[in-house]
Amino acid sequence: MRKFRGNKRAISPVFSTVMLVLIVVIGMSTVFSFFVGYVSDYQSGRGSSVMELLEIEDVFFDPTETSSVDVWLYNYGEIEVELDAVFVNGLPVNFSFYSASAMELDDFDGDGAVDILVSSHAKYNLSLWINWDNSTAKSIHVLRFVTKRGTIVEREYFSPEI
Amino acid sequence: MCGFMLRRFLKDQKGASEIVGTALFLVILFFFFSNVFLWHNQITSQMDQVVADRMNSGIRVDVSSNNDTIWLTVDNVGGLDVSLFRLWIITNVTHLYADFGLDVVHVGAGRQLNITISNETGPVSDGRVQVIGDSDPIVVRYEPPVGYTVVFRMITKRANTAACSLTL
Repeated sequence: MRKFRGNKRAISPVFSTVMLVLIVVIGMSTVFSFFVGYVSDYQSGRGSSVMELLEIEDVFFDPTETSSVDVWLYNYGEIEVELDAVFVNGLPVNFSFYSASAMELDDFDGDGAVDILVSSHAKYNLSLWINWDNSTAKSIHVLRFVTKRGTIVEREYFSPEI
Repeated sequence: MCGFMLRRFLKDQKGASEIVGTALFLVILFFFFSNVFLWHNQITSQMDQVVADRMNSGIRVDVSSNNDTIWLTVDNVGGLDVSLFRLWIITNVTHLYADFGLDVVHVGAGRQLNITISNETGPVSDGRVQVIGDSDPIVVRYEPPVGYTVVFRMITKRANTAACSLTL
């Protein structure tokens, strides 16, 4: 260490140039790959949310099953849609898709979650916290669907009197 | 005086590399961001067109009946052709639907299409009732229950909806 500190001679100009070039190339490659990855993620994720168009096609308050609601969604956008969260009257609820409509769904991006393909319908079952026919429950229900890319679709529906 | 300043400026090479480096960096940055901007601009225009098409392809649905026949009349009240996708048949206790398929049943701009609701319910599979035919006349095999109000709601490929109801 003392020898290194005591040595006043600089490294050769050729070696220093090579080192500088290497450092710049490695640094710029890192920045470039990060930026390409970032842009790619943006384009396939949040940036594509403008291409998502989702319509709540039908909401069925089944009188024989008052603890849940059946909902049909229709993807009329230009890109597949993956449902991330569902809220009923502001509360998050569990949801599952019906296997009967599975032929219109697919795990498009291979992440294990179900995607609604373009121009496809999908039927979901929402498990409610309070039965919709409960006397304390409101007859108007605000259903909010949030997709993985952040698109929000929200509508109000009246549950029937039974 | 001016010539002297210019000669001195051109002769002085200190800081040239910083200027070249900054210029290159800005060019690279501009190249990347212009790609993202152009891509975003393209998909926004594309989706604006989808929304505009949707607004220009409205439909109206009316139901009529005589003693033994019920039929729906679908009017295309927009300026674009419409592709019918699904007819929902809704009562208080059931939500059934008739699928017309994607890009199968069309109604031209300003035109009408009649759909007959037959007086017998055919096979129902997972809430789907049977449809016979893909152009006029189209028959949906569903028998509306007596004493109930039945809502017929049509949804098009562009997700426009129209509804009407009938009580037998």
